[in-house]
Amino acid sequence: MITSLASSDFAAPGQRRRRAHYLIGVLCLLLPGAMALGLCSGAVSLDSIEVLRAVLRLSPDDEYSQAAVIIGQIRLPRVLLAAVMGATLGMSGAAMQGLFRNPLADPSLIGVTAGAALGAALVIVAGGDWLRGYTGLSLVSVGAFAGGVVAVLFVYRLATSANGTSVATMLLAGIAITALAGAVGSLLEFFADNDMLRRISLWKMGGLEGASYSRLAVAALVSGAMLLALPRHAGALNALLLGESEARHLGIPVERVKIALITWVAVGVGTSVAMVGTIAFVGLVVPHMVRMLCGPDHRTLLSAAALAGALLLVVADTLARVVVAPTELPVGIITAMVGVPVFISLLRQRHHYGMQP
Amino acid sequence: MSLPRPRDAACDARAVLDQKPATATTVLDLRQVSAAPWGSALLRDISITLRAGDILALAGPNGAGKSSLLRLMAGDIAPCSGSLYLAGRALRDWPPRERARRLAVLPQLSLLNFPYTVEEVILLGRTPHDSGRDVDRRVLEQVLQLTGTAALRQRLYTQLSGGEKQRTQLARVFAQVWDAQSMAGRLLLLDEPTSALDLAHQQQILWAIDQLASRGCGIVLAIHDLNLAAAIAARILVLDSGRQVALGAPRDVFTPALFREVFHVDVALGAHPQRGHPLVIPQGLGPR
Repeated sequence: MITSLASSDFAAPGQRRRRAHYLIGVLCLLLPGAMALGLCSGAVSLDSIEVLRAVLRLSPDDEYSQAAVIIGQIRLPRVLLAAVMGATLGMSGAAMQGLFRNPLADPSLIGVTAGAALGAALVIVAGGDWLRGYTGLSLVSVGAFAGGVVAVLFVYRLATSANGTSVATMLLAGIAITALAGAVGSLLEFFADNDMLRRISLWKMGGLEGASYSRLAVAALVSGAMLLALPRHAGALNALLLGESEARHLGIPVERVKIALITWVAVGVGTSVAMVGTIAFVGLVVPHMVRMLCGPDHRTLLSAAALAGALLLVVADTLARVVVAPTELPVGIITAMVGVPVFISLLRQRHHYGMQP
Repeated sequence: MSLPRPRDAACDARAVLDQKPATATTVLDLRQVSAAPWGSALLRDISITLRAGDILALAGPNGAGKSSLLRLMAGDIAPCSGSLYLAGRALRDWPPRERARRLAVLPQLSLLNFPYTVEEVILLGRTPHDSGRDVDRRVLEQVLQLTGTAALRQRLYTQLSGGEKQRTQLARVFAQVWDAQSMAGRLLLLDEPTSALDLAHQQQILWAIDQLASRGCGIVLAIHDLNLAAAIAARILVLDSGRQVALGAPRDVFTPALFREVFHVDVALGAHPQRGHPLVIPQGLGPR
């Protein structure tokens, strides 16, 4: 991600370019700050020196102190997972809005979120009491990932004919598959017992409390690959905003780019839903906000959206932990509550910006 | 675009002719090309040779196949018979990026609704090139001058009027085929490039098109205003129901009989007082 920032210094002219780089710089400063704040705060409040000692393990007895356990086992993987997943959702959203040429598109449009929710619900209901503890959680995640990918494959096949893939059909197919997955999910909930219902609904709300180093490793691997791969299509996404045949006339292999984008977004968002449940709004609002601040050029938009998504999710998760401490709120509630007011205030200034929805 | 199309009855089963194109300076060579992308024949037996610097106007009533012919030349529609060469090489054999450096297309309407600035839109035309930032900036300055868009450069595309958008898109396709030395072997396909322009900007754009042609760029434009077509194009191709009915200099092609048969109107034909090209004057209003 960071390398793509440096390599994107091609000449899109003028002020907006400088503003985009300024924004990326500010986000690069804010994100570590927010992560440090996330490490300090929670049910047990720690000061910055304790956190620093725990992270750096300055002396041997630091390893077993209360602070070290809280930081090392709970907060550090959690904050890192929030950053990785936020970045994934932010960049996926930016890529989907470019592909669909619609600033109000969202990664869930291609069915991945609904499919993943159904996959998770299937595993929870089919597994019943047998699914407990850590393996259960992992199996639900696998189910969610598989569900998301299967849904996207379905949507893609529905929208593909001999003449290529129609993004308009894909949008409609995504809505249809989302509705179908929702209906089947409701049917499952109808037959589920109380305990399953609670687990399904908690899972749907999304949360980072399941964070661990093994999950972080999987998430970082998949998302890292996606965060490196998507910016390579930034030029193609810019051309695609003109229209598909225009992009083709500019020498872009449009069908190949479409497949690459959809695959990466499906894998990235599928992983994020599998790891932290459905976290609404990050993928929709973050790219939109970034575009309002520094324009639609994907060479900066993708990276800035990733950084802003990471920032939003880290802040939201920190709030989720402290607002009603010692219990936690589902993070999706916070992302909506933080994101919506910012989004609305930006929408109200839209006339300064010329965005037509 | 490069997908195989099913052959069908609308197109005769004649094998694709594999002859060598005419000469090295030929930009575009169509030999008895027919196309039937959706079953029935859209275009039949079109044969045109376009040399470097030629300007060809496509004329014909609504639905005659002007845009379809442009899309065929752009590679969006595959021919079902005949052969199609761009700069001496079969159009479908060009790698997409290399082809995009030689062939630019102005569509009739543009759907861009993201707030790019005018400069950003124009620079998208440089996407297929690896000419580097400095060259791209120089090209940008030149096409801004040529299309009269310099005053708009920092404006947002979404806030422009229809004519301003059209000039911006024109500047984008000019930038795509631009070369300061020579544009020989390059081709510009323009679908109604002046439809949204006021009188002054029509003249400016026609002049700009002429400038590109004088540097060797081959130009094909579909245009409804026949007086503009006669003013700019050395040759006019008249289409009717997908067939090529006439091809030649405006003064030879424009006859009262042609207008009656193809356009179903009675016209008086005059001549431009200074430049001598034909002027088409429709005979009054009222039903045909």
